[in-house]
Amino acid sequence: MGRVLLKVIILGDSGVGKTSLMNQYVNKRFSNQYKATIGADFLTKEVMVDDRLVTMQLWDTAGQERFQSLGVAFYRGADCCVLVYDVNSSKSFETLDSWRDEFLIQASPHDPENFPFVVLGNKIDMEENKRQVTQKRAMTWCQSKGNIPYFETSAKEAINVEQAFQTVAKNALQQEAEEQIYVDYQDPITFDSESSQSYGCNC
Amino acid sequence: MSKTPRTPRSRTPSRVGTPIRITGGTSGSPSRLIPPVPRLHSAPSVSSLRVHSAGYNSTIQTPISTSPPNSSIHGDSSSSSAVNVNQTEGILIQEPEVEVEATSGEDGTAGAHIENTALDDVARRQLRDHLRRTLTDTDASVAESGVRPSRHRAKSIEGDEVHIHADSYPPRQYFVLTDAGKPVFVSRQEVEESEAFTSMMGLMQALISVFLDDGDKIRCINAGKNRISFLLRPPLYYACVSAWGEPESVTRFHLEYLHLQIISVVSAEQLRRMFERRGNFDLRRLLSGAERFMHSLLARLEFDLAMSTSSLSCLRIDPNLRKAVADVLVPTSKIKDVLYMILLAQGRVITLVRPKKHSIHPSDIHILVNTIHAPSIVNSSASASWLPICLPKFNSSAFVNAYVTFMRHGQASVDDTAPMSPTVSASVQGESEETVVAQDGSVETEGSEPSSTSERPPTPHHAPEFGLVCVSGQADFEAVRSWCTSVTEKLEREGLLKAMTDAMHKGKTTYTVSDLSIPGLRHFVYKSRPHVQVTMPEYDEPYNDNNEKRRLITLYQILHDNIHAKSGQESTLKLQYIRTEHESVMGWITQPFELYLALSPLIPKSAAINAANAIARWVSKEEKRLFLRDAPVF
Amino acid sequence: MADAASGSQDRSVQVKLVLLGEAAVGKSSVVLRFVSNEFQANKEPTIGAAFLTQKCRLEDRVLRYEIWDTAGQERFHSLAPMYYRNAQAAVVVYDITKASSLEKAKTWVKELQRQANPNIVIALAGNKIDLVQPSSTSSSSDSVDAEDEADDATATPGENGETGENLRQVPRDEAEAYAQEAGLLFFETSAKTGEGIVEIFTEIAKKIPIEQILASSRGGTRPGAAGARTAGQEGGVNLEQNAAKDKEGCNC
Repeated sequence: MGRVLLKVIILGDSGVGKTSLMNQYVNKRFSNQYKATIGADFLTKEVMVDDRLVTMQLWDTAGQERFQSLGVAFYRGADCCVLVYDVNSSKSFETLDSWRDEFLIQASPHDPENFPFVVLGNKIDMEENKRQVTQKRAMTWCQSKGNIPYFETSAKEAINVEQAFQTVAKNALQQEAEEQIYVDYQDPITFDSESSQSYGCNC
Repeated sequence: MSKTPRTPRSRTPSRVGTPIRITGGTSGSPSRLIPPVPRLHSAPSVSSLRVHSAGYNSTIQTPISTSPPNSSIHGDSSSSSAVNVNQTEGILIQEPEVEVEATSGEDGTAGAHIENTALDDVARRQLRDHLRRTLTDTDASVAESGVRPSRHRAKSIEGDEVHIHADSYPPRQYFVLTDAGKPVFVSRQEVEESEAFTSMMGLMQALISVFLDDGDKIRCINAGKNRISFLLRPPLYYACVSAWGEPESVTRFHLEYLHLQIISVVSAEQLRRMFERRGNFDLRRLLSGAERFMHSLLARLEFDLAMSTSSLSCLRIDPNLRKAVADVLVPTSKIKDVLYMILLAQGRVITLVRPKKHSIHPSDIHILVNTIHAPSIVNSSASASWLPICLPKFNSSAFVNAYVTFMRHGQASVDDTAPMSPTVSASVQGESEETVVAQDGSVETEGSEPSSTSERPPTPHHAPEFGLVCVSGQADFEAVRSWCTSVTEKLEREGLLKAMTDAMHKGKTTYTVSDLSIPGLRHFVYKSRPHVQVTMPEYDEPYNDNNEKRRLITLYQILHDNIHAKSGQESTLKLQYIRTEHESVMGWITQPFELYLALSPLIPKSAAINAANAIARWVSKEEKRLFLRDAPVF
Repeated sequence: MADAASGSQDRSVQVKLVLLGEAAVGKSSVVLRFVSNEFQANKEPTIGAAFLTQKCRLEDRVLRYEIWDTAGQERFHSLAPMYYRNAQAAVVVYDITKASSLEKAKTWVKELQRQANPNIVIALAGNKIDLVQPSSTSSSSDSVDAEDEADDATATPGENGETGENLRQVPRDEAEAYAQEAGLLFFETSAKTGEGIVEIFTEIAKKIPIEQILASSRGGTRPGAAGARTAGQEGGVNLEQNAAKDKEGCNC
């Protein structure tokens, strides 16, 4: 019920085209200036999931080593994660594994097995002979990691990007759905007149 | 470990893209540098600069040796701001002075944390610029009220203090976010609805994290006319943007209060537990319906001098009447597990009874009063409200229950066991009518107005309301209700409600400056330190205008801050005098009291000192009426 | 019709009634309408719970509802057992313009049936029907009026104001069928216009096993605990006889 805000981390090697992809896709680009100094840029995107308006707070992280110690802080409380690689760079695909591992370690979500990931293979609009990672190879990896949904895209056509975010938002909400908040009011307090308080009373 | 995807670490910060431009204008010459804040009582650090504009001279440190009549001096008389009053049976607990965290302020001043070299000074400055621009851009992009504040310079006369003050007071902005960067609360709705808001929250968390990572628990930062203060209370982060020129301790104090209010709704234990289980928890779910408390709290903090001085402001009332009321409130053996019984009117405490060993923190009272004045409780047609609340200073891990009922003289509730009158309907609030369905099925409602039944005396609609609050632990609702009903009836029966109502109608519960007949005096705040209570007159010309009030309060806050050295000043003061073109204000601390007063700017300083003494004498004479003393304990 | 005035006897039968339902469905408004015959637009959310009483006169006895108007926010959910414990009646409210509120209502019903007094009388109330009714004062200006009306409530006004019916998300049949199946009283109401409100409390009163309440209160238990006061016990007025009669032309 009510507004939903999802914290989404975008990970991937520099050069895979995250930034232009994001810029194409989001409604609100906050700025592109922060990545160099603090290691992340911030964007917002709103999607509808089952008649619920979901606001996504996108953290487009730089992932440079000098920001490594910030992983815990940046990834904290993430609801979902988008892994991006360049289909024309085998290396950028191979590092997805480390990105994912690193993320799970730093973010330590309460249910790592079911944490919503999505993988985006970018730059499919290049010449076919440039392609280094086949769709099959990518999908196999995704399946092996708990059936991570996989989409291919290019900056020119945003369609699959939309779907990717839609999917990851939906999966994140599902995680949320089972959660019931229980506030326990019954912690017994006793304050019989005999015992005095012990909390910094200096009067 | 699998190979990391990052580029090799380099010593110099690699800069991708263009160097960050510092936008001109706002971040030019700061009007104020916040010095690094040393721990209290330790040697001050290198540069406790506090640069106001030219004309700021050294503070006046004239100790005034008067022994206020009728006050006995306990303990040592020290200039330290940690009060050591020998008060074993005090109703209210003196707030210990807040420990100043070892953090750094602006760049360029001494700070001792140079371990982590991921960021050098240049990068650190850039970060601060980012933070500034982020928050002030948002500030600018949101429609703002009126005039840009301009700075005034008052004339320097005889080496007196002069002070620069803001000309207008754009609303302060408050932000609460989780340590993941998710928004929890924002004080201005326009900001929340602005496009940049969600990203801004993320950025704020990121910047705070970057500083934290650098060993720097960021505390405040100046951005031109704005100052941004931070309070970190993981899993929550608090920030305030203000252009009022108040001391930094003031906005941090506000942030701390916001935190207390949140704790009062969810408890510190639940908060910790929720976030421990799930770092992505959206706290707004738990605070739904409670945002109103935050807004009303902020509205109170703006003007409430009792809150600002961590004390209580009670209703002025005849001490015998107060005592008679208190005696009625003392729980009998019939009711167990009561923690506090409080009677309120006009938003102020009339009296409070408590267990012998359990004094109460002023902030707990303020949080409680703020909570129960929520419209859904105060304006309710219900006969009572029953709500769980956590009193953060009493016990931040658990909840107590608050039973709240409002009553007016002449409309006190009637006990169930009272004989049923022939005209059935009782005068309990909410029991105003009977609904009758006649034989033919038509519905009639008897009695339209609660006050129209013959047995009740007509009550004027502006009759003041009294709020009775019973705070209890595990006590059963029925027992509490029955007890409070009997209290209400007794208050009515013994004529106490009438007496208090009459006092209010006759204006006896407040006073004006003119009652003191001190020429040139415009306003004052007197805090009785042993009682931890304040008293002050109504606001008169020129302070019945909100902006004038804000200026005055900001001046009081500056005095208070300097006297107690709350923002890292080198030492505390016993006295400070400040003159602006609109007024002169003086702050004075002695063993038994703190006094802040405002006078016409034409009054010379010597007259101010005389005025202060005269106030102290007057208060001493009126003491029994002004303060809640010797309330019964049980 | 004055009561036989052996004045020391309180002859009212006390019925503890609790209102449950999602936040903002109109619980407090329903109660306000019943108790004070008023409606306030933009009512503030209840904190914790509000407690009210309202006396109703049956033909020859007085019923006194002790009403717990509970806050619907999630954080107060765990307090509910305290409010419905020993309650003789419950009104579970949902908002007919919000389908999810019926789902929440069903959860409440389930909880009551599992954990509350087994004889508890439960009424399901679909509130805010004023939002889906065509305005009675309109002729050709249907749409305008309907939207004006809708502004006062807390549902989002539909774009097409002519037929407010498209705001409705819970068909009456569906809710009624569910209520029937679950053994609940069912009403569609509007706290704003008053429609259906008195009926709820009247029908509940009719369905409450007064005899049981009276019987179980013989031991002089506290009000709201096991039931009502020992009304009329010593005074010679035999309410049991009266209660056995058909309550025609009854009230409250």
